[in-house]
Amino acid sequence: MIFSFFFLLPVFSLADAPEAWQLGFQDPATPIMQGIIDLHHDIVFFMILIIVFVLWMITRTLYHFHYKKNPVPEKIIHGTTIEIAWTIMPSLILVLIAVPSFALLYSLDEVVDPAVTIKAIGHQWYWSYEYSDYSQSDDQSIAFDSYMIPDDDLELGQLRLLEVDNRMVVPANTHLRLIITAADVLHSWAVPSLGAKCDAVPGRLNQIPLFIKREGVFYGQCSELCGANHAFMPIVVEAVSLEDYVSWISNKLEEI
Amino acid sequence: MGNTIAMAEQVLEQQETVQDTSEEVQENVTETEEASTEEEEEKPKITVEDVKTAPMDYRFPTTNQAKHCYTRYNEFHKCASEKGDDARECKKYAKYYRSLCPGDWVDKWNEERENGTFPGRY
Repeated sequence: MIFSFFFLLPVFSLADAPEAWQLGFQDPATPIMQGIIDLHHDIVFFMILIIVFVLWMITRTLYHFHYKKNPVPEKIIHGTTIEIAWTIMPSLILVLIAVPSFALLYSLDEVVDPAVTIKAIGHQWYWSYEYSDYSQSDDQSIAFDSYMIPDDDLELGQLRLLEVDNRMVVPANTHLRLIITAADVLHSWAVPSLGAKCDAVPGRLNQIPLFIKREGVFYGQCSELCGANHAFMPIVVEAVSLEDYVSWISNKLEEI
Repeated sequence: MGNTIAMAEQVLEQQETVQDTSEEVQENVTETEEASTEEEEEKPKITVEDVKTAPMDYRFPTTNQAKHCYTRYNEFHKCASEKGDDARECKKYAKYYRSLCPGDWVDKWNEERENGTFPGRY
């Protein structure tokens, strides 16, 4: 009886990191990712209807116009009505898809007044993070580098090529502002579960909003080819409760 | 168009005044707290109320916030040159630019200010 409970466990745990041979999405943790997945599923639904319809038309054509069944070729070379129909219909479908697509697109960079600003800076080849909301002077901010843990140092259960030494800790259920930039070449800060992907460009401060709906550890990778170790600068976001975040910040402030 | 800008500015001003008053209240509170706990510990502890940051600014609605950071940095130095380096009302600008600007940028600008090569007016 108890063993069956353990058997069920993997079903209820959420996937915030890639799995081997994965085809679908990782589990969403932000309203943005939820929106992206919903839009994808909606579009795929209509896509399947269209595919079935088109395949049905092709099959019928091949069958009915087979040279044995239909030795004399048709002489019709155009029909205005059907041409209007097959031009207008697809464009209408595209417009219908565009409506929710644009709604989602504009919601992606809607910054609500945030409570926390975190700066993620891409370097060759690691990410560094800065928390400066609590500093009283210019040289007092919380800043740390986040390097990948090499294969040899991995502990049991840690994810290969995804684990880092210093995670980016953020509060869950709080509006966050992420400022993303780079110090050398182009990088891209991306975490699939959070629906976040933003280029890190030297000299530019790209802002994305985040609102993580549950506590957890979310894994991502640099997503802009940035040199030899591009594949070895993963991103780990640890979402904790606001109280835990505050105590983490306090500890970090004491370390300065 | 002009109307909407005027409205946005109004909203911004209102927000800033609201924030000013709340910050003042909070500063008073923290001051009294500090006074009572000063002997026990040097650094003030961060509480949940301290979790706040530079607000969204209607002047900078774009993804690229580099101008936002630069403007806040200059606003601080404008304020400091007008009201004195330790003026209380300038503190919020300092907080804002520290929240928004990468440390490297601030260091570079501070260095340029020291050398007198900073392109800004203040």
